[in-house]
Amino acid sequence: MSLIEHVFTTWRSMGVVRKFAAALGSMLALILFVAAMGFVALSVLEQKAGDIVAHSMRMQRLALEVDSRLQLARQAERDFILRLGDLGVEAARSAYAAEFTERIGDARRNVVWLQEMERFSGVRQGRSASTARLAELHDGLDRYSTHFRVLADTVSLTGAGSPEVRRMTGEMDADYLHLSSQVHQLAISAADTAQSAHEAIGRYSRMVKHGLVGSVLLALLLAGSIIHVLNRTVARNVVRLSDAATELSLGNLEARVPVRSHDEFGQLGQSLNVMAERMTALVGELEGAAAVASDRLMEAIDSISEGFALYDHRGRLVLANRQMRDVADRASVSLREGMRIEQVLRLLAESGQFINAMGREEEWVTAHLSHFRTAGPPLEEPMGDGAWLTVNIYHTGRGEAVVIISDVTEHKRHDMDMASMASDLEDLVRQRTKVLVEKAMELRQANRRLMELDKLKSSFLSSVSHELRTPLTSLLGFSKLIKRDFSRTFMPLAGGAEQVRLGRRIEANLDIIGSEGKRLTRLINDVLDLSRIESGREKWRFMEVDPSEAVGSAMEAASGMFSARPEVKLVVRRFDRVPAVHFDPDRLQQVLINLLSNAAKFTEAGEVSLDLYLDEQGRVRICVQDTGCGIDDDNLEHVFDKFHQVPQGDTLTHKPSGTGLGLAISRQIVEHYGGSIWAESDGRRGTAMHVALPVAAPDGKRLVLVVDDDPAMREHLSMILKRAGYGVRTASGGREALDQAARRIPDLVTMDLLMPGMDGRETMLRFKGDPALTRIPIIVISALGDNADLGDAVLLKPIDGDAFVDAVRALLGDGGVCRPMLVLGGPAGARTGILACLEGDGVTLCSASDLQDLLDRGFAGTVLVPRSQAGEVDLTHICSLPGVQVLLLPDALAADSPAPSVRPS
Amino acid sequence: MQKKILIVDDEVHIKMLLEQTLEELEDEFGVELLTASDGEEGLELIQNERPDLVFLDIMMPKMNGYEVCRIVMEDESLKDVKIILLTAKGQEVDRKQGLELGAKMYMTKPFDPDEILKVSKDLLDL
Repeated sequence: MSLIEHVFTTWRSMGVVRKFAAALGSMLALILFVAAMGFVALSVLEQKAGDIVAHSMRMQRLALEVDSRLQLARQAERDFILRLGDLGVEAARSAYAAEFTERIGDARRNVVWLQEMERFSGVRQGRSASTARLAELHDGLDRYSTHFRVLADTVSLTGAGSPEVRRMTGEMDADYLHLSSQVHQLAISAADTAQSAHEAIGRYSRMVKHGLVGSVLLALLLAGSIIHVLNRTVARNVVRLSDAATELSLGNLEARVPVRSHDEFGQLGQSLNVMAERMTALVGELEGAAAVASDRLMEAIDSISEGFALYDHRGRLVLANRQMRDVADRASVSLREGMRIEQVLRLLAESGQFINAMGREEEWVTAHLSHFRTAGPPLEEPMGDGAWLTVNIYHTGRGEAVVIISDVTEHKRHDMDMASMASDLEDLVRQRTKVLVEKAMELRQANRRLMELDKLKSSFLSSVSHELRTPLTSLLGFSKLIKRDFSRTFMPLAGGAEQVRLGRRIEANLDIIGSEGKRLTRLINDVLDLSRIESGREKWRFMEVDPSEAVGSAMEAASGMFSARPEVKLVVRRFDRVPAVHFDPDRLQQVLINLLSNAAKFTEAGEVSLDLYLDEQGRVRICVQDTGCGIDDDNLEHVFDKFHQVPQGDTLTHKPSGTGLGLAISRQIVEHYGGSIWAESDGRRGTAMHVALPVAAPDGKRLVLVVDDDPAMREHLSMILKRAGYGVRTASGGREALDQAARRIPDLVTMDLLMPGMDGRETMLRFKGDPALTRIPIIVISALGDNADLGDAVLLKPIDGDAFVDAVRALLGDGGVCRPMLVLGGPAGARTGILACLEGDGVTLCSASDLQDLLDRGFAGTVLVPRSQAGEVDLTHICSLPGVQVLLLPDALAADSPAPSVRPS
Repeated sequence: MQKKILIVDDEVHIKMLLEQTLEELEDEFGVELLTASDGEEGLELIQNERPDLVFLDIMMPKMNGYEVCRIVMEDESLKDVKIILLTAKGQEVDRKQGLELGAKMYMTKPFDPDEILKVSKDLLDL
């Protein structure tokens, strides 16, 4: 019993997959068992049949053997009797008796074999009968043999013809017949044995059939029980689970899954049950919460000071709070759920409590009904008892209407008070506004005056500087002349030591006048500089500056200062390769010289060291460090103030030796270019002045290289190009231009022809000869007389800014024309490279006479003239016309571009 | 041929200073010094005397230095006259304007007498 229980427990605790596996395993085992059974039974049957057949065949063979021996023995006996006459007794005896004995012996041996076989044979049927028959046969043979011996003896005693012999012969015949029948019986019994074996096989096969049928039935039974068990554990569970899930999904939270197995279905059922429990609990909680919320909402609605009523979409009252009921009570109307709005309004109108409704109840009801339906702006209702009510209607998304009635009696009272106050206030505001307008006008005037003052200040500064410079010129000039004359003429006349000493003192004093005058000049320059910067009148130049060049030239400029003071050494500590910055090179130099001269000035003895490197923030850093007296922390920031000089000990003995404006100007300059400048000081051991400048970003602008030996021209063209949004580099000569181009390949070059050293022509040939530069378009800036047959376009001086930009844009393929263009020569002229990119209404093709016509009518713009057609027009005249710019297009280009893209207008 | 230097300035002292500075050339090379006190007088002297070198102040009554310079430069017959502009102004724009007009140099006050002397010698090939 316990084993069955154990099996059941194990089965229940198994998972579904294992259950299936176990069931399938059992089925397989059953099939194998039945197959094995059949196989064994068949092989046994086969063996049995084989045994029986072999046995009966041997029996028959031996029986035939015995029969043949017996016949041979009979033949020997016959021959003995027959040949007695002619051979004699002895001879016949020796001739046949031996043969007879031998044949009988053979037969006896076969019989013994048969007996042996019988004894060990597995065939049970008829064994005792055949054993007895064999024993009898054996005895018969012995007797037959004995009878022959007796016959032989008798013959030799009595002779052949004696009755004794005849009797004995007759006995022997009987013996033989008996034996022969015995042998026959034996053969028949062998056949019987085979018959019985066949029957046995039939029996066995029936047994095997029964066995197989039994196995199959057992297997079917087992399979049925397995299916039954699986059905119990799997199918039924699935149905139960699905039923429970369906019930739950339909909202029956009481549904549970009655699955008790320990497999996945059990777990699933449990989970489902737990879930259902929790859902039930949750729904319970939610219902409770909803009830609480609903109660709370009702309380809240009751507790508001306004009257609240909700009407459904058909205009029937759903709920009303206490205040609403109070209002209705005041009009002796009792509100009941389900009342229609028309009914309520009519009752209210008839109550006589609403002043507006008195005498015109119908209209009042209609007005309020339409208000109720449209939810229009709030309505005010004065009451008979002096109270004021406002009625607000709101429609909900479901077509319900909310009516809010507020008591605004207090507000009304306030409003009335406010109305009287408002008129007072308006007066006040009007007065104030008037004052304000006056003040604004005053301010505007003050502002205008301030601007005038600022202008005055500027012109004052400039005229003061002029006025100061003129006397300074005289002062400095004459002191120098005096000293010259004095040294040349009067000093040699000085007789005596006293006069010489006095003469030297005069010279020294004149030098002082000179140096002080120069200091005054510097001060004036600095003041002017600073005032220009601060007033925003300074015209800042933006150029790409190599900081190492600027540092180098600043050091060169300051070298005089250091050589005059051998106790202070200038040391370059670090001089890295740094990228370019955007700056005015003169201004950068001004800042650096200022820093170097300050460092030299405030170092009594020691060294001034200079670093140039790229700092961690990626800015170009220039640091000037001295070993002077240092600056304390409080003053570090003040050194950049105007006229601020750090007091050094005794102010009577240490006179400040600068203008006090240098650092202020430096800071203005550095910060204007996006950099920063600051001081660091380590106690009293020297000061480090740092300048950090942002690296000039590669801005993606197209780069134009301006080549001209005239600095003013370079400046002028650069300015125009920069304003048009191009990056600009400049070169003052051919060699420098090639250098610049090698450093960064420009997108376009403007070329002056007449330059010292390598001239424009040679430079252009170099450009065109260099495979890296040959494709760069070149605009030649030329005077009319110059033989300008190179370059991609020739711009004749004087240069008009817009036309210049037009030409640059056209050559760079940037498109867009600032000024109208006339192209001489029609389509032929249009077939040039520069025009391929010019399109639009601004471009007009014309013949020489048309051109003259248009020019006479005051055309202002660019005139494009192919060089081959230059002779057809008066270029000198055209160049001198105001507002006209001539652009010559060399013929070399005319062959290139294939199609004209210019539309004649 | 005797070289001539013309000094045009309304400031008496500046005129004196320049005169005294250039006296050396008068003594040494026999250069003739002329002076004028305003633009009009200066222009008249330039046209009549054709000096080799003119020190021309910019801010002057009657006619300013730029104007004088422009007229001289436009006159083909006066193309050998070299002009040095003298001014108390020191801005880049002024300098550019002056040089664009064709002046040889632009000197800012206060100037150094030695420099004046050197420049004069250079321009007069003395």
